Amino acid sequence: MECLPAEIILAIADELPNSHRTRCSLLQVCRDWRSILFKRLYSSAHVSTHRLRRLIETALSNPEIAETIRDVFIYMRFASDLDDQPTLSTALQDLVNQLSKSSEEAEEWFLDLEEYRDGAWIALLFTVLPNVAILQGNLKYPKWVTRLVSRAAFKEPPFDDRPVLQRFESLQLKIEDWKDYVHSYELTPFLHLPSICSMDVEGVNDHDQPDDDENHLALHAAPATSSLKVLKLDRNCNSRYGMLNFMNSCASLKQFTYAHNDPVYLGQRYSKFRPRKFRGPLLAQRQSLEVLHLTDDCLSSGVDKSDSEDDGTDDSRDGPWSRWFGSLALFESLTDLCLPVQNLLPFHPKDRNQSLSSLKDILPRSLIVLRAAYCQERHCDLLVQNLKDLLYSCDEQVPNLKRVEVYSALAESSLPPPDRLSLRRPMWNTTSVAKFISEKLDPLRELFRQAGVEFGISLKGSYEIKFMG
Amino acid sequence: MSVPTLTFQSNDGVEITVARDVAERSVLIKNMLGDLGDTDEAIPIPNVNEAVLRKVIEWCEHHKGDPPNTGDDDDSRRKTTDIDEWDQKFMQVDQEMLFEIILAANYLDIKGLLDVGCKTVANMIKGKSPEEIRKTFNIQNDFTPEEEDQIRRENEWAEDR
Repeated sequence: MECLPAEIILAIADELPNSHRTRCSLLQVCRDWRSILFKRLYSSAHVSTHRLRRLIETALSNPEIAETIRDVFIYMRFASDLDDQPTLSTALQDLVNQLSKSSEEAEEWFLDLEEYRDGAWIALLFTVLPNVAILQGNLKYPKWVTRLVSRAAFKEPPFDDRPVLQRFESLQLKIEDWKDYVHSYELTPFLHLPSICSMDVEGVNDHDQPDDDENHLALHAAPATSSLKVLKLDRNCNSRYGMLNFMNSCASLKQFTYAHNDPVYLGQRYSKFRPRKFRGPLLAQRQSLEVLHLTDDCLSSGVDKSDSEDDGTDDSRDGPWSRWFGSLALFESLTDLCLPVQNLLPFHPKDRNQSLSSLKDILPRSLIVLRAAYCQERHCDLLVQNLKDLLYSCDEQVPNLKRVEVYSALAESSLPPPDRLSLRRPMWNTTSVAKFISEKLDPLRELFRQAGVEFGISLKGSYEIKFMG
Repeated sequence: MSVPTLTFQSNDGVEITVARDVAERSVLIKNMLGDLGDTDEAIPIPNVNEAVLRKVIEWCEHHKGDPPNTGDDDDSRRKTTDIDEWDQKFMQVDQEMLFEIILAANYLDIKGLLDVGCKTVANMIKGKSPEEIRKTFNIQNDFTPEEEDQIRRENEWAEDR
């Protein structure tokens, strides 16, 4: 074994599962192995919420490990797995005292640490890992993270001579419970960090502004100066104002994905899907934006009473959620577009007289993939006509177009309706695109084939199922 | 028409003839032929003895029809230590030969064979304690008990899910 060079030992370690037990074993074999494998095995840390204290203490006592950890993956543990030593060590107490602005703040932080509020621990973790670049996990209580990242981004004392998060690149937050959410302003400080390039976050809403006593400058947009390139708000997000904080911060955003949801539960403000609210902020990114996906997981077919001051009509089909998004011709780098059909074309009564609203006029020349989502029966005729016109002028208007996909909002299942109490959806192989949708769209297949553009009709995202059995 | 061949010379002076398409499983040989053109002379393989070279050629012959490895491995592939049945049997050799094959695959740049070799060793490590690993590969423990304890404490934060 001694004959194998370091690169082979590393290649062997790469074939092993990334488990704690394996890492421990490999590092304890001999000095040579420890020296060869140390950086590789400590570059990422997978840790449960309730072991964050031990990780922070290890980082404090071993600067070599602290400097090596780059990617942090945090997962939830249940109460039965609570750490057996909830009391804070002197080293941890000293750290909190150094980082706090006042003794009152330190006391408040101690309390949240002792109650294992995840954000209190994650904030502390950020301060002991100088090279941390990726955080993936849950964040149920963002308060301390927001405070810490704000101060670090603005290099306020003590972060003026002790840089923190200066190499942070990617934030990936998941929600455990569909009722959890985070205010967009609570995450805006990340956009002020110098190396940030990607945010992939669930459960964000932008309804509220920060309280006066928490109103740090970092909670507001970093005006067109952020290095963020990828912004994914893919699950349970609810925007009323087009995520202005995020969008106005970006200097040159390349990917924006937003999946809307209406979290209808007690006491929580929410808004129906408002695609036009994104238009203005997105236009500022028109030179760089390559991927734009705006979708509505709720299909937004109901009347939204909370939006009564908006431009909705009494017709439950025609609220702000069904307004035309407008022309995309100015988005000169856009290659991949996904919009609900009702926002891609002017179906709303207020938009029907728009000039230059056909697909061939509104799509950018750069477009490669077009995805028309939530197609309902009432959309089919206008969509088919527009796709035909687009194909006739494809070479001049969208010469790069390679694929068009239509996602049906309606499906048919060959099964009988499920028991009312059953939450199970039918198996995928018993469900297909509703016949009256596919019959209207199928004639396009030959036209697309002749034009050399792939065409597909499928079920993706949200759709209603009609049971035929 | 006869199959084009090359001749390799192992570091113990034995010449072995091999079909060119088999030899070109080695990126090193393929690039060398691309740079220098065809050759009738024996190509010296200075780091590999006859027994190991014959094993390497056996592997290349068996895998000559495999699609070329693009090097674009994703994590899911990298983390699986599954080895197909023929390769498992092929790798049932003593440890010295196993390491020699890995070194030869590394030198000749035969990624598929290197992967199989590394996976084989990884499977010998998987699930073992440090002491068991040392015993398996005859490695001397040069840590003091205090250092071993220190490493264990450094990892107290981690746990297997």
